[in-house]
Amino acid sequence: MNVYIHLALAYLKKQRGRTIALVLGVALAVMLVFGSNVIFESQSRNQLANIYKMYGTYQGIFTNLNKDLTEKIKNDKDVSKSAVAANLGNLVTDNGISMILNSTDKDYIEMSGYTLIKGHLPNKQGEIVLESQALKKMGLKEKLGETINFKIKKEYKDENGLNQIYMENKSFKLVGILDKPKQYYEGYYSLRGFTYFKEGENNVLPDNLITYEEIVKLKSNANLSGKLNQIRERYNIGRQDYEVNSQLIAALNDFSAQSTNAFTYQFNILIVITAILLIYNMFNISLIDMIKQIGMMRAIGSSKKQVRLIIGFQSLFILIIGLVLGLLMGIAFSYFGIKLYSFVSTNIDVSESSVYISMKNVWNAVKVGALTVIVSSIIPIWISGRISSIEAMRKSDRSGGKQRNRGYHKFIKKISGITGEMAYKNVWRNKWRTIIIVVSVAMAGYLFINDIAVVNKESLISAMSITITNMQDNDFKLSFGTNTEPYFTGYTNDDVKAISQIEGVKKVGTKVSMIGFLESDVNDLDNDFKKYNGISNTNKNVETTIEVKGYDDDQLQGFKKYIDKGYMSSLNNSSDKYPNAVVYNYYYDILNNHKLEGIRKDLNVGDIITIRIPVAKGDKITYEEQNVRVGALLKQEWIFRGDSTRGRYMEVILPQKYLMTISGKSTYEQISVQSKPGKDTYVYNRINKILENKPFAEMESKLSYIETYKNFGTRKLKSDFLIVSLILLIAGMNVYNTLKTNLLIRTNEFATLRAIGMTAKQLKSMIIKESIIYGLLSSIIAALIGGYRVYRFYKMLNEDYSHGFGATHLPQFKFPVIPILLYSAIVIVICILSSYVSAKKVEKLNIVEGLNITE
Amino acid sequence: MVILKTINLSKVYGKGENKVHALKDININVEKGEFLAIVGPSGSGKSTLLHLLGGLDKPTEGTVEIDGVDIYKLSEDKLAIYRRRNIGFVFQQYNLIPVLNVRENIEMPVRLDKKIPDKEYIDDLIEFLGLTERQRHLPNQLSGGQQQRVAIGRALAAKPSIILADEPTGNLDTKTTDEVMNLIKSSIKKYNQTLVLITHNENIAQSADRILSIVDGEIQ
Ligand SMILES: Nc1ncnc2c1ncn2[C@@H]1O[C@H](COP(=O)(O)OP(=O)(O)OP(=O)(O)O)[C@@H](O)[C@H]1O
Ligand SMILES: [Mg+2]
Repeated sequence: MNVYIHLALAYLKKQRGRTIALVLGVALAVMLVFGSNVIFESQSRNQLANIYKMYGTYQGIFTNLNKDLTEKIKNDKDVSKSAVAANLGNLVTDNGISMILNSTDKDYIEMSGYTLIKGHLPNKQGEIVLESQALKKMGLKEKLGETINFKIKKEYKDENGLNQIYMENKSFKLVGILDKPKQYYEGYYSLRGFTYFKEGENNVLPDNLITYEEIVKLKSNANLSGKLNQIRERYNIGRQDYEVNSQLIAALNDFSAQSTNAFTYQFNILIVITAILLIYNMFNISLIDMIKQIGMMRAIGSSKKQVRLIIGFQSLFILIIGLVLGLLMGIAFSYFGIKLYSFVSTNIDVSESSVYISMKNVWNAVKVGALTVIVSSIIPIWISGRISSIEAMRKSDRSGGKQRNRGYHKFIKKISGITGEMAYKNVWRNKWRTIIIVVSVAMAGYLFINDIAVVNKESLISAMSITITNMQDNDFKLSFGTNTEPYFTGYTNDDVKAISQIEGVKKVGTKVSMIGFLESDVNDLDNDFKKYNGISNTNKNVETTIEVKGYDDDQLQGFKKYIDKGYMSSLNNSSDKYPNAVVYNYYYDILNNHKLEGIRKDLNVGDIITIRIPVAKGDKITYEEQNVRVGALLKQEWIFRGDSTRGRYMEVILPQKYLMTISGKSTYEQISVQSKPGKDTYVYNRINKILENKPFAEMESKLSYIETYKNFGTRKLKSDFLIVSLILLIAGMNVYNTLKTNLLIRTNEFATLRAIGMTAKQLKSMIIKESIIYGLLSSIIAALIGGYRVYRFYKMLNEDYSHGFGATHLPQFKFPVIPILLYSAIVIVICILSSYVSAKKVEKLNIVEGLNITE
Repeated sequence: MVILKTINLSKVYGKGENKVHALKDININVEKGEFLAIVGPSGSGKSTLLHLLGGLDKPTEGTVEIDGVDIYKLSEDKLAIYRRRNIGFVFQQYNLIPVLNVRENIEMPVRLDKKIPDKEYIDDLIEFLGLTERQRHLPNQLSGGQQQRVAIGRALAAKPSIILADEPTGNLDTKTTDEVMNLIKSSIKKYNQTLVLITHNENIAQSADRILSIVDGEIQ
């Protein structure tokens, strides 16, 4: 036994270069798997902790509920914890800030992630707590005891099922201040206030207007979105009355992912396969070196088993060293990788996560390392017990098998001369060894070619992102956030003028918009739509939410291409009895089948529809009925490329002037701005100045959307290229060691060639050409798999976007020639470098010495 | 006419303790068209001499002149070119290129010279070697005698003026030895070539024009 261990170690020592390659192969694979798992686990822990602080612990929210329903949800089989608060409408300030007013419920406040930083929760009528951010936006100091005046606005459905607005003045005494982390307010958020409320004793709202909101946490974290949607369907709650805590759900999904997400999993597989190819090849090559000794040992009486023990012990040794090294390197990798990469799903900054190493991840890495070594050494171990078969293998190594003279042989002869022809023949001496190194080098091409072809391509970014396509030709869109009341905010004609006068502004467009309702006979509505919105058939007449809007003429001209039936110009037609409208009759089902579907059955040009739109009278708002004629219908594609609500509501476009007159609105909801090329940044800064004293004015910028996308792309490129270089490193070691051995065992042949008159230059050129052929073969394989992957990407893109959004004129697949050439160049350089040192040695070969080496 | 000439040719392997004086002050002249046999005990320096005659190694001292050209004054590449045009080697181990078939092996020196092999001549040569049926075969599909015939073919392909053979029949049985020797002899007659051949075979040595005996690196 001892003698075998001794022999095993002696060989590892003698073949030092190969041993280093073996150990490094295992270590790099372990490092990557372990490191990426550790980074992912640390980051997802950190992410979840942050998300809890920012978005609370609840997973979904249901709104517009009655008391009974809150009880049912509370006792639902899937719900583990819930909290209920009354919805008392919105608090609206004079400058148009609007926030949701809830009843005080300690659980609700806690599950929503608020911390009370000052004062106490309301315990008397008329007391209120507000977010620190709200006070800041309102321009108030954080002074407890202060009385603050608001309007209370509550949208409700009357006994006939008609939507109505309740609006009254009301003042509250500030008794406490809530807060959330700063990061939360940098993203999308809606403000809330909490007041004292007791059923039957309230003086905030008439009792019959009160609805309830319930936030829930489920028993199991598996399939959260699906389960929550099932609850919604179970109680027939409409789409508009339901929202998931999407950030939390993403964080929980990350957290509960087995070890890593699919994203990194794919890399781990690639790297492990490359390592397996390396180790397998190295062991096989070792066998060639050890063959004489093994033969001798068999001759003096070693059993097959004992011979196999030698290789077995070698692989065990390599595994142990590789594992220890890999784990250490993995820890080091984690420390720097955690800052460099973000493997989590949300945009939360996790670069400051502390490294968390769990036994589970260590164990995982050990398993991966062991699997890699076992899979790759099992065949060599088995073969080592059958020397006769090794000899056969070696024989085949020295000859070319059956000779075939195919057409391409002649071609190669022609273009690369005798040395090229020899090189080509040599490459195929050991088919398997060639295939293995060619495949291992091609491995990274899959990622590389796809990334270069697809990631951060400007044309693709702007074609794929609905946020960007919805910008149309505009560089900026100015609007107001969710925390505003549209009737008390808006852009004035002065604002429009000021923006038009900014140097570099090419075009300014205006849009008036408001939320209104469509009156329908319940039978006229699409069935799926009804189910989606929780509409039952009990009432004959139903109201569904729509966006009513008006654009300036210039923008309307630009929208002409989205007309499906009818004419955009019908909007200017004043001879009709009713005003004409352009209607978008589709909604996007974001919860179930992710498709565009119709809303009103059989809606045609010429039909008269009844809508209700908000009309301002004094400081009150009421909904008023209005008949309009469908003058044109918009194509499905509008959702994707138009100024759409992204499928949330039906859209009704009316003549702008007319809409402003009947609604009494004098300001615009949205201003769109086109700037002259190169002026974007300047215009952006100037507009920002104008928006400074409008608390919730928001500006979307095409440039910053593209930037965001690119940042995401760059993040992906960064981590992908790490993987690509690791794979190429491992594959490079494989090529280097294999080529070295291939050349070493041919010393005698090289000497012969020199003796019969091959010059040293020709010999070197033959060897370099051999390595170029390896590179070319790898490039071909990489081109095929990379090309296929890019093709699949485009196919998926086209299918998804044309089915999902009815989008046309999507970017079409083009064979990624440049990425393939780039990859080929890299691969060929690696192959040439790998053989260069050996080639140099062969060039200096002493002919006589070479002739004397017979085995 | 002297075609091959050595002047004070010496070869020392190794240094210090391990110094081996493989050749000492060899002076020989070989006439054009001559068949010179070299004999001597194992380790006496026969191969060393042959290698130096063919420009495969560097002498420690002395010169080798072929047709009046001091071959070791040529650059490495020039020497290689010189070899493929003027010298044909035949080795005891045949030393064929395993990935090339019979015809390709034979054409090799011509192809290395970036010339297109003269098809008729190669056809003749292959027929002369009795390998016509085998020209598409790979070396490992041939017997030892056949392989050595291929090696001879390779040595003749470029119509060199000198053939250097190191125990070409060392691995062959008596019958095959006779066949191979007959081939070599009829070839040098046909093409008027000079042959320097190392052998342990008394009969072969006797059939040479001249026998050179080497012992301990010195001509006896
Ligand atoms: N590369 C070398 N390094 C050291 N010594 C060498 C080397 N090559 C040959 N020798 C020595 O030089 C001497 C002559 O060797 P050579 O091969 O010329 O003998 P030989 O006459 O051809 O013998 P054989 O009949 O066995 O082939 C021997 O003593 C040999 O050991
Ligand atoms: Mg010898």
